[in-house]
Amino acid sequence: MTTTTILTPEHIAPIRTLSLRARLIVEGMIAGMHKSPYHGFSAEFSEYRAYRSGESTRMIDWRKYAKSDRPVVRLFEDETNCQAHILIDKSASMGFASGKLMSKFEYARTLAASIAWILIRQRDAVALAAFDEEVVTYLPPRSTNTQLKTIISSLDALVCSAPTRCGRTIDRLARGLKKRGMTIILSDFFDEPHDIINGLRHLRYKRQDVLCIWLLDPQELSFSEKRSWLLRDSETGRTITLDGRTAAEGLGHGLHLHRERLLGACSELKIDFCTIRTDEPFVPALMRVLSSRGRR
Amino acid sequence: MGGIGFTAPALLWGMAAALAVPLIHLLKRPKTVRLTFSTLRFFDESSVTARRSRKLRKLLLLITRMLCIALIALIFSGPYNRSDPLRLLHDPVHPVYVAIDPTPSMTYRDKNGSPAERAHSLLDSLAVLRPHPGSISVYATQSCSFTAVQLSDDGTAPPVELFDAAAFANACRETVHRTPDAVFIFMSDFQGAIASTLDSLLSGPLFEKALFISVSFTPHKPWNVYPTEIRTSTGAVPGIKVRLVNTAPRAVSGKLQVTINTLRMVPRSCTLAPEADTVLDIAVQSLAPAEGGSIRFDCGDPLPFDDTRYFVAEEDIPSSILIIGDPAATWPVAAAITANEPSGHRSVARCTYEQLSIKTLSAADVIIICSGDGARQSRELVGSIVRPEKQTVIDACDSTCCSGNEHWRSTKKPLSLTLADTVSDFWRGFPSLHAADVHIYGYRTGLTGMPLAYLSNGLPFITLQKVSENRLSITLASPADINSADNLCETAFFVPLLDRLIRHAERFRARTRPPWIAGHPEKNPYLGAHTAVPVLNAEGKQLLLLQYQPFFTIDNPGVYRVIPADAAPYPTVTIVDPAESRTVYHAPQTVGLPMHTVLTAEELSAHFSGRQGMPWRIIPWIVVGILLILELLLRERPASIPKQPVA
Repeated sequence: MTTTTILTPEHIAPIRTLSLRARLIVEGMIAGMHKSPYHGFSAEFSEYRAYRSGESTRMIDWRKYAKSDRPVVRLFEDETNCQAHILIDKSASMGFASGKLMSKFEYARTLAASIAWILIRQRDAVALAAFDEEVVTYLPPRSTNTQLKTIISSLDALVCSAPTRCGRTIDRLARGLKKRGMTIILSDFFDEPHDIINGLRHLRYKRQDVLCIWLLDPQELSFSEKRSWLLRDSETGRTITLDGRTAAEGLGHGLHLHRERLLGACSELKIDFCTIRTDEPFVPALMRVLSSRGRR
Repeated sequence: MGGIGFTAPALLWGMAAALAVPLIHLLKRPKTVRLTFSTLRFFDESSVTARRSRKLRKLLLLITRMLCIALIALIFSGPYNRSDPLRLLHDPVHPVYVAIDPTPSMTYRDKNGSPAERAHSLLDSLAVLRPHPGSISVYATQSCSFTAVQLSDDGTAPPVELFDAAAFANACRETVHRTPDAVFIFMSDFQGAIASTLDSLLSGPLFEKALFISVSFTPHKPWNVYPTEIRTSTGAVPGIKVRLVNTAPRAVSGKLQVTINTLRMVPRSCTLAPEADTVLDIAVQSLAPAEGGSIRFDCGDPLPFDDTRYFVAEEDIPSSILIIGDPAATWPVAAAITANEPSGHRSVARCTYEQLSIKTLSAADVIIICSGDGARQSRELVGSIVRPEKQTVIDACDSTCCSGNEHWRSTKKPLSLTLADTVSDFWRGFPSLHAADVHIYGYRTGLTGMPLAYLSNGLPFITLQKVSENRLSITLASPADINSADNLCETAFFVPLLDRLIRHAERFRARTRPPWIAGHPEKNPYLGAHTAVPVLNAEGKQLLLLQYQPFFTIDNPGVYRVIPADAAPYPTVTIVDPAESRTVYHAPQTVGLPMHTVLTAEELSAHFSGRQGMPWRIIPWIVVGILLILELLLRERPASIPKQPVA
């Protein structure tokens, strides 16, 4: 039995410590990939360019200047690979869990911790933003080991509440981004598709490589037609009584339409859009997400 | 009797299965689960509307299923209208008793074959439709009982036989006692008195539950030609008078063949006027008393059984009829007698009481005493006459003649007449339908003798009494001439009545016996004789011996010879039943007889095969079909939910 097979949400849920949980997942994933995450990431010479007046003279490659009598600046690869922003949705809808499964939020913050772990191991600067109606928690990007601890402790402290304003929050966060980088959004995207697409478009405008991870509980994908349902909205408190057939059809069609619109927009904006069910084992899910990015 | 009945009421419990539908619906009713769901953004107002319409749809589906099951149970329980007597025919194992009229009139042959053949063909088809043993029984005229049906080998009808109505009635009674709700089917052409016989049978309390179906095979526009009323002259100028009856609406030509003993005369062609009787005088070279012969008229008529009429030459004894009464009132009587015997064989004389003499009275063979002055004296005078020859007195007096136990009664409400029977020699073939036209306002009571007809209040109207060996007395309760006590002489009843009275008087006087009717039981005149009396046919072969049996039957018409031990042998003639020759058909009575129905052969076949009322029987199944289609339409299709991404 390999590590990947045992890391199901059911198995990992009792592990309260998120850091331990993230480490387990990452190690399991690395073991599954049989590939070191340290390879291929080093600071190397990139190119020369002409010195621009006003620039610091420390930037000038004097040896080259001596040979060519032209002041040039030697450019290197950035020491930090990229700045990654992890956006995690902590709205009330993310707290939904069916049966003994982890809630979407539990699953999301485990994934967020795992991704943060990987990125920091790669020397990437990782930022964390937790949002519902607005950004609740924001940790600026850093690549230190303490940043990982801070991220994990911040994720641990988050509690699901308040309605989702996913699109508007993404849009606001995008405003503050100065550098190109990577943005990972972990959410159920239960907001107006138009707002979400606007936010994503804004992120792309800010030259962000965006990865959307759509988390869904199995219950949200299909309703049992053999039951009658008295449903209460976890965010608004609105109630509705539906027979199983109506509930299944309404949810099926609505979810399908919602997904189609998001998927269409993401395809247009060249954004990776992955769906993960909360009953899916972590490692294969994470590998699937990362390998799909690797193919691009 | 009204309302709805069920052939299989136990299957009505199947309707309870309809209750299982709501039970199943209740058991399958989904439990409501409360759930705090992540978002309800995908459930808008249309979902609520869809839920309501689905609820209504489920309710309709429930009702449709219940109706469908209930209707199917109802159909299989076999509902029927209790007031419809023909419902018994729909039961394939219900006993059916069939009787086919075996009389000669059933041999009437037209382009569709004879009624007898069609009746037996229908019986065969019914037997095929009801193969269940014992479901169909047929009346056998010889055994006078119902026996299991047997298919006819070649489709031909069996030979004609006598239909004994009394025996048939007895067989029906026995059957009804065994099976109170039996179904009787009587196939007949309803010629002659069959219908009235049936009416009298069915009007009794016997057929309260049993169903009696009359299937009519009455020919369309029937006609017949037959010889009748042969009178012979054996005197100096021998000859034969025969009346040829043509009931066809057109002239009919044919050949008349006369045979005397075994000598055939040259056939004679003659044409008969449409719907008229033609009296032919046939001259013969010699004709001695007691010589037998036959007259045959071949014209290709559809009823050939009566084309030959046998006769025995009689000694000429002309009848002398004396009518006593006021000439102004008695002329209808004389006219009626003359109308019945236009050949002049009867001499009719009228005289008043004042003109009477012993000689006149002694010379008369038949004396008719009518009302008027001196009727009482005439009656007394006639009673005092002693004459060696046989004489008949027809007493048709009014109130002035009442004597002894006789009393005159008047009524403001007119009485009508009812015949005592329709099968005796006196009344057989009598057109009884005219009897109801007679209105009697005054009548005598206390008449003695055997009643031949009754008043509608039950008192005798005509009585017959043999006063002495040579005298026959016929008494009418009301006058026969023009009078205020009745309208007898104004009705169509009058002429045939007088004809019967005079014929009976002539038969009383005649030396030759009345003809036997082929197939009919005849009274044995030699019952209890010391020596058996043989009856020989034309070839001299002995047919039967008359001694101990009270009745005997001769099947075939012809001239037969009776040889009594203590008297001279004499010839006698057996003729076909003249009543069967008449092309008069009467539909049986159904009014007031709810269990008596008249059907055609096609209708009966349709009832037997279950085709009758087919559209009405199909309608419930159509409704079931519609309900099933509705059920399919209302049933929920598998949800067309788009497949969501897996992982």
